[in-house]
Amino acid sequence: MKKFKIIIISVFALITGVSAYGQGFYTNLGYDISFPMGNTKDFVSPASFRGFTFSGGYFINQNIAVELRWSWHVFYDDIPFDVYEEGSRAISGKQYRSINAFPVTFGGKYVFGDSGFRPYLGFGVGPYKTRKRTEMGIYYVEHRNWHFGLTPEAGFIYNFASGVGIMGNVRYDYMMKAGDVGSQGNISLSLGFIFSGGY
Amino acid sequence: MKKVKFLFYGIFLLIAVIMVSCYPGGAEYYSDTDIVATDYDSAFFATHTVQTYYLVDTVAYLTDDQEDVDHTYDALILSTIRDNLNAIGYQPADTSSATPPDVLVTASVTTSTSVGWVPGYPYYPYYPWWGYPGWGWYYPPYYGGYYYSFSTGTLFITMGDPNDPQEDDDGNIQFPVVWTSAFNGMLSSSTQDMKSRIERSINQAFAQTKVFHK
Repeated sequence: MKKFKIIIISVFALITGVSAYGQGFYTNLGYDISFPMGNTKDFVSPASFRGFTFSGGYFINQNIAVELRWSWHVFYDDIPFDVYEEGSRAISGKQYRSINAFPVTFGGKYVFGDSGFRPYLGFGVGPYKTRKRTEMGIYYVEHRNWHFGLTPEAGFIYNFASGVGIMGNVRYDYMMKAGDVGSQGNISLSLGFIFSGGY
Repeated sequence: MKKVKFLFYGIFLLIAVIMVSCYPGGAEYYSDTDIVATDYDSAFFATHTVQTYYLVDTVAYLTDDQEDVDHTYDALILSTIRDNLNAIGYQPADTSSATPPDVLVTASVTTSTSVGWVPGYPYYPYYPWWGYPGWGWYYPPYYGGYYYSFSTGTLFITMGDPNDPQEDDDGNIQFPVVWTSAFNGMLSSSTQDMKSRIERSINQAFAQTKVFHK
């Protein structure tokens, strides 16, 4: 019941941005650069410079926090003219491929130290919405799926003023197979602000 | 700290706008929409050695309104098909001979126009109630955006087997199709651009059909 209460409070804090006190609630907004991995890389190979993460959490004690996070990563690739064959059939043209991934994860962080530069390790699980699209000519094929995914991460928090700091991390998002779409993955570098308490 | 909070939401809004405005594009030129699809009857080509063809010398337009048909590209379509048939070693059939050609080739075109509206950023031109409490009315928001209209065309090239006539349910004689090609793309107003795209796509249809190059 206590955990449930913490979740409810965390979600409330995320939505409202209201903080109780310095060590309690926090919200984070970060710019993400993502590198596709595995099947994602086979489909769209360039790194994504279109992405951000919005998260909110609550420090249960000095070092442990629970967190709800939402991200948006856009992967895109122009595929030059090519011929795609299957038996006697062939189709040629340019392709425009994209994957929009929207992870929603719930997890926790263990933050080392108690002030200044504080490294942390984190982990989260949750649903990942993906929209995988291939455009060819005036036509397109699109797969929309909900994947179950998980995300280990390592990062740091550096408070440079009361209630305001910088948060950076490296995160691996792994999405399990869903529907016709195989497992997906990407590594993201995120850098942004973290706000906690007092506002 | 209120300033920090506003800064936070300001950054959030800015990122959201950047994400939408920098959303990846797609096709930029008419030719980027060109696709060529081909398929052939493996059984036919495994059992037949094609030596002669007959190319129907009229491009068929699959439309009810034949009067508005633009025949600008007919000659180019037919000559490019003929050049490719000759290039793969097929010979024009002797039309005075009683022997039918090995394959019958036809070209047909269909076009369609699509219209729609793409929403843009909402734009509020005027807020008369700001500073004027009690007016109780305001201009409705104008939502930006633009209408689009584009035409697409498809050129079908089909190759039939005139030596295997078949009767359909209505008693009409039909020849089984042994190869088909469809070139689809957005139509541009530039004649020169259209000519080069038509020529390139017909060449591509023959090039990507493996059975023509054995």
